[in-house]
Amino acid sequence: MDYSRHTAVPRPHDLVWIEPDALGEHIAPWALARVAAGQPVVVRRARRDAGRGLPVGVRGAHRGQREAARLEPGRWQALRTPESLAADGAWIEHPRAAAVAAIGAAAGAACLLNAGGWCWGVTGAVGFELATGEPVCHADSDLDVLIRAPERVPRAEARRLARALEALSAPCDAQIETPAGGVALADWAGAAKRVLVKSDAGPFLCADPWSESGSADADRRPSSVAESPSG
Amino acid sequence: MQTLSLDYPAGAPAARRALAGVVGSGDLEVLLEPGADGRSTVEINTSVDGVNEIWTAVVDRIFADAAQPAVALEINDFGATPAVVRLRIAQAMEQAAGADTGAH
Repeated sequence: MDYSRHTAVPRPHDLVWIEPDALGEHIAPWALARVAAGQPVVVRRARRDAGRGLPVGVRGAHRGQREAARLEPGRWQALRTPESLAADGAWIEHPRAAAVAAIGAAAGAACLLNAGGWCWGVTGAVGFELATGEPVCHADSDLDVLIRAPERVPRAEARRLARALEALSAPCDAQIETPAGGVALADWAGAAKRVLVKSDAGPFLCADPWSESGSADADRRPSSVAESPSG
Repeated sequence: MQTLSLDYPAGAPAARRALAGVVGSGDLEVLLEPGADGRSTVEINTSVDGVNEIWTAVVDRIFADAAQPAVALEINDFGATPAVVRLRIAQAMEQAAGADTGAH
């Protein structure tokens, strides 16, 4: 699905607040406890088969702790997009901006990305912490940002942006949301002929994620993949 | 950080060096150098705990064909899924064989 534009359904990286019983059965007790405590779940990139529910992930208190689940259709109460977190600018005077370099770096990232006219948002640990107040970031967290690009980003422009983001006070992991799926800015800014696209159907290599015939690569697209733990 | 070292029988050394992938969550970096004749080595550095078995299974399958060019791979993993691991290693092998020169 094309998540570079607005859609009627939640997109990967959106945070959704749900009813605790909306995740069905077979959920790890720790994950259920997180949701019951009012933590949102994160929309994952995975196949959206009819009747299987929205793919989401629960973020645990421990580093790397994640639980993949499916949310019963329509069972969410509130939603935050990465863009809405960026628009809020909640990193300004954030109490943890000094302790967590990634939160501190958000102000610099915002300057750069807003000046460039990008449609962008904050995801990952920083996005989660800004949205919930839960201290999930640690000293060496990256600042994860998402850039929606329904139109082709020239590779030279990607290189300029990647270089500018490298100067921030914390590592910035930027992903471009293209019509074909998510592509790492560093990949598109690099020299490889083909870049890795993360789509609902799984990852594939593609020369141009904006090309209509990205379908020239269609034979390389995965026909089926197992549930992936992350977006 | 955990390190895992694997090795496999292989053919003649690969033609050239290659680099695939990026530093970033859910991805990995593959540095490929021509290996010693008849032997491929794979060294994986990963920030994720408890994934040695998955890595071994994925890489075993990729190197199952002992006629492939001999390579020395150094992999820096940032939580890539097995599907991403397979694509990135394949991308590096293609570049080393000259199929994807990386020129742009």
